[in-house]
Amino acid sequence: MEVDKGKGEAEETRKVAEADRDTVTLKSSDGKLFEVSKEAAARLSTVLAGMIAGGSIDDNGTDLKQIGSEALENVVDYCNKHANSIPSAALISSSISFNTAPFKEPEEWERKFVDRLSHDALFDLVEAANFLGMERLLDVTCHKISEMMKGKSPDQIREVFNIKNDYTKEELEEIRQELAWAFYDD
Amino acid sequence: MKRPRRNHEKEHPEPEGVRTTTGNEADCDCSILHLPEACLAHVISLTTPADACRSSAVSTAFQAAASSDPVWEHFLPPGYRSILARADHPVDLTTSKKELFLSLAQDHVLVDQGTKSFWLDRTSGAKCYMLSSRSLVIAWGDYPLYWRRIYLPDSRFASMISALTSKFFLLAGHIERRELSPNTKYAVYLVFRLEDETYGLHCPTQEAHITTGDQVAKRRVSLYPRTTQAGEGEQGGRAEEDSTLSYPREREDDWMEVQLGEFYNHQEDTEVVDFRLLEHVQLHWKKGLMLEGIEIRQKN
Repeated sequence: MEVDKGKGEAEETRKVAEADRDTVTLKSSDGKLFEVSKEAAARLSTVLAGMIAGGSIDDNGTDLKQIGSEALENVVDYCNKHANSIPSAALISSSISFNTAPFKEPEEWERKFVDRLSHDALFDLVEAANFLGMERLLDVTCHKISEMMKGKSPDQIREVFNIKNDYTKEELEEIRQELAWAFYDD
Repeated sequence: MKRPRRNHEKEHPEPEGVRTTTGNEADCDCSILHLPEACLAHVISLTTPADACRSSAVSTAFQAAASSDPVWEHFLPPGYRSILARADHPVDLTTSKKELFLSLAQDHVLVDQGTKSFWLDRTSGAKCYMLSSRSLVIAWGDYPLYWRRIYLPDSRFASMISALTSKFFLLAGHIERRELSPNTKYAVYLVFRLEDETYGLHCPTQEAHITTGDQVAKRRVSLYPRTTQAGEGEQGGRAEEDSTLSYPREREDDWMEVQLGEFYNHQEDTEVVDFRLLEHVQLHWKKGLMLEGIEIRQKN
């Protein structure tokens, strides 16, 4: 049912590692396989934690059909980096629900991690983090995008993200008048 | 595979794996618009209320995300419900969160039996208050010979206090730090008006004290605009705020205000901030001060 790319490799891996191994194998929408620490995956992703606990992890590579290989590579990279960094108490306790917990500023390595990504890679990673229930990664990636918007005029935001204005002149004027105080710079 | 719990965007009817788009994506490679609306809303919630308003003018997809409840719930200060529960007149909580935020940023709400008014700084969502003159400690305030209670149509409070004559001068108020927004710089203002006949209010020994913990920040305060004292040609007195001497300025609501000082509200603080205006050195006779209250608002 799934593409067979890389299956030989997967079988090799499977023979070596049995149920009790400490990594999980994830398969991207384009059939690439990635290994990630089971502990980090379970700690950082509510979805993977649920799958691990529920025994629905496939040693051949758990299908993540919504996530492309580039985004999945970044997810795995983030998990590994996270496992290696000294997690602050703030990060460990960051599993409070969306929009009620105060946002914790990204740490230095997280900043570097998202700074090197292209726009497209960043957006794909947001989607992947959202899909996998990775609260902290979602915060860090969304924070990066929000930094690109802060203090900018609507025109500048359109330019940054290459967005078409789909308003009529009248609609736009209405919004600007309604919220005139926010439009100080254009 | 189940969707993560936090993913609270509207249900997407499309089969999984198909990219959903939130807007007018025709002939446009703007991939930010491929994000689920909840993700775009999360991005916007990490900006500021002003950024969210501006972003609603970017495109219809941005507008939908920027108007959503999660964004504005994030901008509303934590604990706003318990403050609004103290409102003298019930506040409508059934509106969208954006409407609620903008209405609290536009108009103040009277709380605690009319002794305080509460509103939000519209650019940041920081909690701001005015303490009514009735809630302040005023030396000799209970003696009608020195101070009287008056009713003005443009006062936000039911009544206010006016100085008939007074020698010893002490006004004091306080606020608990947890009533304010954390990690925010605040400034404290005396809001007042001068009657036609006034005297004694420019005394150079008139001082404001802001006490936080064991630190006291002091500055001299004149209740007359700078021009009347310095004799400059220009009328109306611009705001003069340095850290040692304050002059008043006109407010948009036709009252005057003079800064008593400023302080930084840290996250972990639990104590009280105390502010006072006093003159107890020269003891001139003073007259003609109409006192609306003390305002504590974010310093931008």
